Amino acid sequence: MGKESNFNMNIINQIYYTAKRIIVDIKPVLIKLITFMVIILILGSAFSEAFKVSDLDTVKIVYCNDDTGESGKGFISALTEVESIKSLVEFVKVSSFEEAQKMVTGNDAEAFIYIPEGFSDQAKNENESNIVEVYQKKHSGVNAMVIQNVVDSFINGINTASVIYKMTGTLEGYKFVADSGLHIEPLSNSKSPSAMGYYGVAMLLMLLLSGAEYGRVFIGEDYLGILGDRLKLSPIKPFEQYIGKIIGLSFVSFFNGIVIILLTKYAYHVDWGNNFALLLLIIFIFSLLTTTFGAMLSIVTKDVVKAGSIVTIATIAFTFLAGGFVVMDFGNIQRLSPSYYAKTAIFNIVYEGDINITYQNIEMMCIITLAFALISIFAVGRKRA
Amino acid sequence: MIIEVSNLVKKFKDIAVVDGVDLNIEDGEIFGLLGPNGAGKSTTLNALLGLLKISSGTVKICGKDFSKNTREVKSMIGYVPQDLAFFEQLSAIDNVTYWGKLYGLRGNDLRKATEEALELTGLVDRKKGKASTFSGGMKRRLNIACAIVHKPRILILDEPTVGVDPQSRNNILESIKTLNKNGTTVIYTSHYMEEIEAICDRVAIMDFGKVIALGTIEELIDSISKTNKVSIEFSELPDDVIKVIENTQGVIKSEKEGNMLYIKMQKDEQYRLELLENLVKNHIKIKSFTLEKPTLETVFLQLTGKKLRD
Repeated sequence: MGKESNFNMNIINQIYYTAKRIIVDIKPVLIKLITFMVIILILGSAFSEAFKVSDLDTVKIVYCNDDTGESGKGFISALTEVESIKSLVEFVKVSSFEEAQKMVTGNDAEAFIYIPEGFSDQAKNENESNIVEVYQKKHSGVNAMVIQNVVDSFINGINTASVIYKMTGTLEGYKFVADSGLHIEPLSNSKSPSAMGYYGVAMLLMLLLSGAEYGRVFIGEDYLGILGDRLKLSPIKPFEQYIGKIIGLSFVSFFNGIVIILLTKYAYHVDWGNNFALLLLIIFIFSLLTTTFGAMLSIVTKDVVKAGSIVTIATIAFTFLAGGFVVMDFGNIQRLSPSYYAKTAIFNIVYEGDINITYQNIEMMCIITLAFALISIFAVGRKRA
Repeated sequence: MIIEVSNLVKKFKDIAVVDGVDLNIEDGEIFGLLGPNGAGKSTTLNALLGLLKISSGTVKICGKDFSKNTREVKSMIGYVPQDLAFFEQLSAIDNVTYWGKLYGLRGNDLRKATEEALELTGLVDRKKGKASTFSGGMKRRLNIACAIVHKPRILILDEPTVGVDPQSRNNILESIKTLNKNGTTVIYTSHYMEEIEAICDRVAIMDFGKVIALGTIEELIDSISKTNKVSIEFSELPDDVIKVIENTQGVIKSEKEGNMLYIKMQKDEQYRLELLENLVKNHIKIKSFTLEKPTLETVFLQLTGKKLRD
């Protein structure tokens, strides 16, 4: 048998027997899968409200009309009856400037519109500008945008009416048409994750992270145990042994991941997107990453038990940093978690984001995996007989 | 010589755990390595096998320098470590097959070799059983089966019968004899003197990192004693009978205790025959005749000052 053939067979044998050693004792694997399914169900149910897409709350605007003429009355009634504005704004009439001011400063309203006395006369006077006073609280965010749009719309309406009056001498027949300028477009379900979807991904990654245990134990036995001595005396080369075992262990994690994806898809109706091939690639690469991580810890610490403690802490920490338990943005710190890259890659294909970001994150995971493998190789002080 | 170890030294920090060991092991022999705890036996084996980097000295296996012909030499060696080194999750046949594949066996050759290894170690009936369900003795046998599947030229066993029941122990010893008969050179370390005596052609006794005695068991025993002790029980023991015995060639002295006579005599078998002839010639009736030879344990004790299990 040729050298290359031996090399391939050695690796294939390592893959086969490594995977078989885990799968023949299927009970712990099944228990782990069931546990994660339950966790997904609990988290997905508990946080379901937080992931619901809801309409914007209405903004309260008070108004006061001190104008005794028809213009002021006309404009106010027209503005308050615009449907697109009404959906965003609750108009409350007050009887005085002071009352309006009090409501805004007292946080009972976001803004107030004041039509001063003599507004109708201004409208008739060619040389005078029409003044409407608008007062709003200083704040940022959606409410300010709503108010600004309403105010702009209102002002546009007034200016238009003013032009019409100057041209025709009357506002009869003029219909105040305004638009809030805002169009509410709720995100459709396929473009934002439900709670079940979010935690389906988060817990899938946590399950794959726990695959570091496989690396820790199965590679640890080669480098730190008596089995390793026996292997050292066999013709198999160290890298054949390492590569074969890592791939075998990663396959086990990978298949665990597939089971979770399928179960959550059909039992919990989690949306995994349409690009299944790319999704599988992501989880396989992530499985390789976590397995090499666990292996590296055993080799570097030279203590399988110590490595086990690190794996436990790392699994929780990485999941937390990537927002796996609670949706939080840790800024750049989350990049310390390998789960962040896998999560970002998955979300961008499942929720139709930017596929280039997915590829970049896959690349990052490959680099991390290679780094772990290289550290392991350098840390191994294997004596060649 | 199939294994030549010359002036092997292994130091840990500044302590020489193996201190100038010379061993020459003949092709086809069963070679025993004996010594108290901490004598350096396992370190010698590990250094010989390349599991430890040696401080100085040379190791040649089949005429090849181990450090320069690693892969070739490795395929000739089968190693049975003291601790169990197989996969508990897999069946016996899977374990043996795995190791066979590592050594390049394929197809029918692999199947045949696997069956033979399991048969030799008495595990054929349980070949599909999971290793984790095996008794201690069966696990030890599986440990050996994994090491012999590729029919190594040299088999090294490090205390292979620790914690094993007598039946399994006998099975293991018989397997080793069979392998040896088929041409395998065996290096065997054990705590059990009777095992070494039962199977080894030559023995090296180690203590404090050095080989303090080396030879066949007979040679080692002869090195500490040139006499045997014979105990004879008589129906009656008058003084003239004692005189007849003391006048027999080879008898050094005798001691009477009731109807028992304890005789110290030269080792030569011819003298014992003469003694028996004298007893017959003189119609001296005896109830029992017992020859007590120094054992390997005696040799060991005398050379090391320790019992083997100390």
